[in-house]
Amino acid sequence: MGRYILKRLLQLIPVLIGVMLLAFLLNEIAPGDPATLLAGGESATPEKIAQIRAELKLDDPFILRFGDYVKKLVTEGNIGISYKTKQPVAAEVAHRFPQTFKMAAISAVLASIIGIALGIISAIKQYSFLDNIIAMFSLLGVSMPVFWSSLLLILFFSINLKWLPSSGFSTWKHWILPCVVIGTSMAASIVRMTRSSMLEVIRQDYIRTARAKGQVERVVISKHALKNALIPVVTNIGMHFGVLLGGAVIIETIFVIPGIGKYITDAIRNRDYPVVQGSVLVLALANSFVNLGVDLLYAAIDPRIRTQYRNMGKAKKKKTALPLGGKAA
Amino acid sequence: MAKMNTPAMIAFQKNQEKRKRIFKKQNESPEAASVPLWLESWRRLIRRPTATLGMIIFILLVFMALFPSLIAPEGYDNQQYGRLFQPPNAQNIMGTDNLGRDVFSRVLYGARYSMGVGFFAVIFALLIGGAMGSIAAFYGGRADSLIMRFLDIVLSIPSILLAIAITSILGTSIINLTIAISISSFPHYARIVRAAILGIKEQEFVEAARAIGASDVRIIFRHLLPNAMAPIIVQATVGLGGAILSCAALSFIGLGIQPPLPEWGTMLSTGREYIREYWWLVIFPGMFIMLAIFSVNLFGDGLRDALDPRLKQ
Repeated sequence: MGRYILKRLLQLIPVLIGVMLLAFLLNEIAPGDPATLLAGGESATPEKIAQIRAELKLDDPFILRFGDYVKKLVTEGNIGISYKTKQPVAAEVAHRFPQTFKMAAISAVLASIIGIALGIISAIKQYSFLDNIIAMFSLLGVSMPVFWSSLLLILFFSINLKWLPSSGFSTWKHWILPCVVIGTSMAASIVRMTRSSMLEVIRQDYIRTARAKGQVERVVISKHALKNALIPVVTNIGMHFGVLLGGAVIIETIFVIPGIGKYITDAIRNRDYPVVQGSVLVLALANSFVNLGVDLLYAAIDPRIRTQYRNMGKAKKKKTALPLGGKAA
Repeated sequence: MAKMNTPAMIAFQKNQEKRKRIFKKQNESPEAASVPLWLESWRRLIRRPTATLGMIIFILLVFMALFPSLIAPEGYDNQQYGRLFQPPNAQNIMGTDNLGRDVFSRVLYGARYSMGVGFFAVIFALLIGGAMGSIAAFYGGRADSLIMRFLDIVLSIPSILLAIAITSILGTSIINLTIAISISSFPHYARIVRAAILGIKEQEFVEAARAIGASDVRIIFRHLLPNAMAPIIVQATVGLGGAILSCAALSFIGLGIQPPLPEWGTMLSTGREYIREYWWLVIFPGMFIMLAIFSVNLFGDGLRDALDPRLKQ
């Protein structure tokens, strides 16, 4: 297992280098000169602009700057200094990431509990009235744009009833609306996934065997069926969670939460390249860790996958022994 | 031609005619008539009421997108300062906005933006993703691992952020928005196409095509892709809903289609400023975004079931 994790962590390195390159390239082709912006717009004197360019080493060739960046990252753990605030990006990210993480985690936990429970009920009582209701609501849930449902909830709970604050993040009350919005849309997707996955498993022979040997229905569902149906559901949850970490921009904008998505979006607009590069790198890292977590959860759920991970080293050797077979196919 | 009269040739011709007759008979007899796959799937699809409902809503929305002037009572930018912020009434069934424009007309005209951008974004994403996925699956080996690593990199950046970055680099225009949405979603299509082709490329008909000397391009386009179509179509349908959503979302945060064009997300973002007093500016545009995505999802669900060979009766 440890060997598997180590291998996955090593595989991360090329992906992260690729992400850094991609972020660098995107900034490279972006129009507009950050030095001009920093010097105070078009009215700035050319000397001032030139001085800033020299300070930021903007005139160095691309490869040099990229190498410099990677060197600083490895030796000092420095992922960049904001052009605008002159503060290290890492500190700002460390300050903002927890907000986003908190929101994503609360929503994901709520959504998983509700989504899996409703999905199981829906699958057990297939084609019943309850199933149809759940199916309809979950379809509505996945079709509802989060920015619209946020506005509807604000309209209802903050403006009409005045129960909950419409923006901010200081008390627990502030977290209810954003978490409900994200949670419901995520739960809707989990319900659909759980239902279809459960339906597939319930038709299998081993479920019939479990029932035939007289196992209690509750155990058949929770142990025999659910455990086997959980893999695609876990994949779905992991995917949503990963997206939420960086993609909750809109929710963060509407509810005025200083999360990482908002930070990057503002930086993109201000052409604050180091911020974009640094935080995208952190997000990619977080995303990769979520994926790794999902793969480890697979192993916890399914013993077959566990042995597969354990045999990873051997399987690799087999593959390299027959390189021609792979290519000829 | 000269050897036409040799006995062997005559026997051969008779045999041919006989075979032709048999084949003709087989094709004409109702029992043996084989229904093409698409027709069978289509029949299964329209048998589902929910899928049909989704299709009807979607067709109505497409009609709105193509011919808004036939239904809309006014133009989308008809400003009348005598009727600012009118609540829904008999003249303006969805009320009027901050510039005295009829919200209903604007919503009708708005259909073409979200849905048009969504449609073309899916097409572009399919083209890029399909090409990469086919190459990865067909050639395997180094090309495959190179393309897959590249997709991993793109996928590890949240797609909405990628789209935001691209629109802010390219500038906000309808074409740039379409490009941004397709670039941020093509890895999904590439993966689906790759998986679908990997599943069939070892089958005999591919080998047969290769044996008669078909080129790689021909094998991919004429033999592999048509047979791998089902999951690709399903992904494209579901992706259309996602692309419509992305278009509205980007416009909502001001990086998509700009006012005064009546894109639904843009309208929603204007309405958000007046949410405290004038609820109708928020309710109706959002409702149509949801309706569009809802209809596509209903249809996509039906399509997935109809194309799933395991669910055949």
